[in-house]
Amino acid sequence: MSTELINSGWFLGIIAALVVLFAAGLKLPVRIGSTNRVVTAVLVVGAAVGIVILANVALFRHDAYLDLTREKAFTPSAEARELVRALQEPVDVAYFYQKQNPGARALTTMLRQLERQNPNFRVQLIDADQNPALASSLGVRTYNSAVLQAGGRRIEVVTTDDREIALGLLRLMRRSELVICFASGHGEYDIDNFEFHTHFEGAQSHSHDASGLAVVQMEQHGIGRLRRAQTRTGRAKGFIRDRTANPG
Amino acid sequence: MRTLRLLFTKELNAILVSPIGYTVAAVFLLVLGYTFSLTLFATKVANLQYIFHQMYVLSILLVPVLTMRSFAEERRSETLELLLTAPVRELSVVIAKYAATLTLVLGIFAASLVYAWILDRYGEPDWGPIYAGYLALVLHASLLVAVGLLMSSLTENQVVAAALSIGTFLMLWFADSVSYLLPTPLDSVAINLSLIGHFKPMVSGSVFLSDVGYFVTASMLALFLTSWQLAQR
Repeated sequence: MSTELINSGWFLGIIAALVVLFAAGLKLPVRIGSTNRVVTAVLVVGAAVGIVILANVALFRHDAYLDLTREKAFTPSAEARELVRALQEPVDVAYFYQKQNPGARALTTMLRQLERQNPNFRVQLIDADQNPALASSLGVRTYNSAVLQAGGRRIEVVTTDDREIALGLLRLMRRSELVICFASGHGEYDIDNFEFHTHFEGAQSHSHDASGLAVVQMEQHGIGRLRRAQTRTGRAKGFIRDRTANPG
Repeated sequence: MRTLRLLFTKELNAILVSPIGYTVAAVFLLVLGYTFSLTLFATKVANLQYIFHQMYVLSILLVPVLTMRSFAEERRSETLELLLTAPVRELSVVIAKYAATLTLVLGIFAASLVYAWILDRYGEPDWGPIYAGYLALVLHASLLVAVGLLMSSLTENQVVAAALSIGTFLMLWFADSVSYLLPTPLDSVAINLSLIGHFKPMVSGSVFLSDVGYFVTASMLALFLTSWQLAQR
C-alpha cells in the first residue's frame, strides 16, 4: 500500500476522532468537578485548542500530497525525495528566495514538500528582500541561495532546482576520506587553466574540427576539465598550486 | 435533520432579505472584476492565481460583515434566549447559521466562475490549479465563517463582533511573520498557524492534506467553541 494512501487514511482517522471528541465535549457539564465556571471554560477551551494542535501535528507528520499542475511543476525529483527520506541526522536548510522568480517560488513549495518527508530535514523559507539582515548574518549575498547546515558543516547552493539541493545534501553528508591528487610534473597545463575545448593537431594545420586531419591529439587539456567537473559536483575540497613545478 | 433544514431555511431567508448580503456581493464582484481585467491585460497569462489571492483578501474583510449579526443581533433583540429554550440543540442552531452564511459566501464565489469560463474560451488554462484554488477558497470561507460566528456569539454588539473577527483573521494571516523571533518549536507553531501559509500552496496547484486538515480542524474547533459557549447559557 502506498504511503500516500496510508496518510490519507490517517487524515480521515484524525478528522473522525476530532468529530467524536468534540461531540463528547458538547456533553460536558457547566462545571467540571468542584471548579467554577471560569476555570471549567479555560480547561475546555485549552483542551480543545490543544487537541486541534496535536491533530495538526499528526497530519503534518503523515502528510499526503497531490500536484495538480499539468507539468507536475511542484513535484520534487525522485532523487531528492530519496535523499531526504534517508537522512539520519538533522539538516537545516535556509532558502533565501526572490519572490518575483517563479522558479524560486516553485522550489519553496518543493522544499516544503520535502520537509514533510523526514523530520530531520528542517526548512526555513525566507524572502530575501524582506529579511536582508538575516541573509547578511548567514553570509548570503545572492538571491535564491540555500544554506545547508548539519553538525557544524555548512554549504551554500545558489539554485532554483531541487536536484542542486539534493547534490548539496550529498556533499554535506559525505563522510569519505580526503583523497589528494598531485597533478603536476607530467606535462599538464597549469591547474588554473580552464581550457578544455576539443583540440586537433594534424599534418595540415591546427583546427577545432576533425575535417581533413589524419592525426588527432588532445594533449594537456584534461586537468582543467577535471577541476571544473570536481568543483561542480562538490567533490573537490580545494586546489593547491605547486609553485616549484615547471609550468606546462 | 428536519429541524436543521427548517433552521437553515430560516437563516438563509433572513440573510437574503437583508440588504447586507447584496451589498457585500456587489462590492466583492466589482473589485474582483476590476482585478481580473487588470491582471489579464497586464500579464496575459491564463490563470486565476491573482483572482484567488484577491478573493482571499476580500473574504477576510467582508465575511465579518456577514457573520457579525448572526448571534449578536439575536442577543441584542433577545431572541437568542427564545431560540435556545426551543426544543432544538445548540449545535443545530450553530450548524444552520454556519451553513446559511457559508452558502451565501460560496454563492458569491461561484460568480467568479465566469472568469474561468473566459479563460477557457480565449486561452488554454491549466485546470488543476484552478480546481485546487476553488478548493482552497471553499476551505478558507468555511474557516472564516466558523470563526466569525464564534466572535458573533461572544457579544451583542455587531460592530464589536466584526472587529473581533477581522482582528482574528489578520492575526492568523500574519502569524508566520513572528516565527523568526521565536525559539524552536514555537516558530513552527507560528508558521503553521498562518492562514496564507496553508492557502498559497493550494492556489498554485500543490495540495497538501495537512493544509486541508488545518482549515477543516480549525473550522471544527470554532464551531465546537460556539456551540459549547451557547450551551453554557
